[in-house]
Amino acid sequence: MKKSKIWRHLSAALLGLLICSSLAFAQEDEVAPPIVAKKTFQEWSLPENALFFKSDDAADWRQTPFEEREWIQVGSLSKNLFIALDPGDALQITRRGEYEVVDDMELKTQLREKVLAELSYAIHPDWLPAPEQMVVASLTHRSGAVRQVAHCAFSGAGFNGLYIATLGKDFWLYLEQVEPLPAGAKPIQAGDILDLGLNQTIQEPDSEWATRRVGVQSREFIRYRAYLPDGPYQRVRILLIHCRFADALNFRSFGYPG
Amino acid sequence: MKPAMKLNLLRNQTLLALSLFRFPIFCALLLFGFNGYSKAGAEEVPQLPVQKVVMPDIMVTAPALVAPGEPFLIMYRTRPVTPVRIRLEAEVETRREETTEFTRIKLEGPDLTASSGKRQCVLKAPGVHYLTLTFSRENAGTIKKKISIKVLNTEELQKMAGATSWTLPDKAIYISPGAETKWSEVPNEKREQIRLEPKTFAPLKPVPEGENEWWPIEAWNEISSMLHLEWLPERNMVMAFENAARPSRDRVAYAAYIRNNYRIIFQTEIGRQSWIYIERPANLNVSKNAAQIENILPDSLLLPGTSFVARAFNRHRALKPDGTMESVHILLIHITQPSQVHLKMPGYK
Repeated sequence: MKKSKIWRHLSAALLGLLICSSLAFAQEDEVAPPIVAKKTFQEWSLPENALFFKSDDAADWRQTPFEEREWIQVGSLSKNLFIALDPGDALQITRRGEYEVVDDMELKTQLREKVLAELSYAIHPDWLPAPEQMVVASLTHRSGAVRQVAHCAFSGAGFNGLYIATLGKDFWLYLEQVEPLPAGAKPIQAGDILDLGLNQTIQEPDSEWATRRVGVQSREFIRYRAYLPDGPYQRVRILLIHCRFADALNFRSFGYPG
Repeated sequence: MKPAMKLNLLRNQTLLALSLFRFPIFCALLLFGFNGYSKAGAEEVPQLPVQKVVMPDIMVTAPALVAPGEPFLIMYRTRPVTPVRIRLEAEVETRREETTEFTRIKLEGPDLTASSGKRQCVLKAPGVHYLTLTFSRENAGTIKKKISIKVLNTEELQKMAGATSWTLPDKAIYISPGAETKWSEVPNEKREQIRLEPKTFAPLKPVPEGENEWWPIEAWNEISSMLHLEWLPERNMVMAFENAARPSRDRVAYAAYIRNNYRIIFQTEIGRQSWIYIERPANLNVSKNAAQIENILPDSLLLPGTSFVARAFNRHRALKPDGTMESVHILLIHITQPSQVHLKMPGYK
């Protein structure tokens, strides 16, 4: 075979390879990669979908004045617990409206993907749960407004965690470790979890834009935590992170809460 | 033996016995004699029980930014307790460029005898002044409280000057997506507006604890910590209220004002969250002083991980529900305080 022919075949093969690879890249660009959790977490079982906190182990949670009580509730409360709490709590729950878990598989998948996409605006992939661990539900307020909400209680090596999200608006991440920490364990810091390098500024001066897409705040607490108001309580170190989205900022619910 | 010698011997023996047994005698006197004396005295002059006086916890406020020589109020408040007599002194540490001066100023006036009080103060030199206020109470020791006050220099005062009130006839603005859309015809759930004084607002009262003077100062300090000088209102433009919408009866404040071509509304739930609305005519050419976040908010709020979100909108705005609509470009900023992250039922909203 002549040298010129070899070169012609070689260049044709190279060109073909180039076109194929560019097509493959173009296809990758069109389809956003799915959000994949890097680690797998165990389920953290919350018997009453609630956590109760005390600053003083000797105190009685039920005797704490209502405005000073610390607790987190996800999903709906069981009837027994609802009755056990005082009328002040009943008002609080009623105000939240009807909570209904989404059963439709297609809608459930869609909402789970949406929640994970929103968490990934601020959370490092190492700290994202698997989509199937996320419970999605609709919450109908007394005003008639419907919101999609989600939660996920999970456990990892030496910690328990809880995501609580209102889609399109905000989410909370609660993380606890036993206190005092076992020898060699380090307290988890907000900086270990947050990934705010991207998605912060989208700026086009004369159109609608969000200049700060995610607002973040975090606080640490030391508390006694239980799954029921009467205990048993365990001393824990808590990291609480709140992330909210600029997309939720509008003139309809703007201003002082009514 | 002669009687005189007998007497002498008896005297010597007695002296010897006394010198030998002086310690036991002393102890016996101490036990029986002095104890009995003091008991008798206690019956005659009863001792008054010692009253334990406690220094109450004290909160202090003063405007964070003032002009040189401008009189301002330093206010204090405690929990409502039995009126106490408190003496107040201030020690001032002034930092200007690389120098630090220490002075002591006298805050004129009689001793404070209520659960709240105020003193007028004047600082003349520009710079940051750190005031150490010493509250002292008879038999109860002292409490020291520190506050910092910045006296602005001429250049800073010029930057801050120029705000004029934005008069809103309905104490509200009405926002519409299009010039042709009548606001009152927009369905209720889609209506956009800002109300400055909802029905739940009530004026602050002078009692208890000088509420009507305390909260405007707190509101001003919050505003001046969130905006650069070029974007601030005048201090007297800040209106403060009590909001009865929640049992906690939050204190709230707002200011509506104009700076250059920008119309601004600052709303705050004091200590919790604030909203900043900045609009400019849509046809205004964006120049160097354009409403960019970096020009509006201080560096401390611009760091990653701080809690503000911002969004821009193109809208039409009127001052009456069906009033003339003006085409405007709006920047909306929402800032929340760390106090908003707590364990009292965080969750779905």
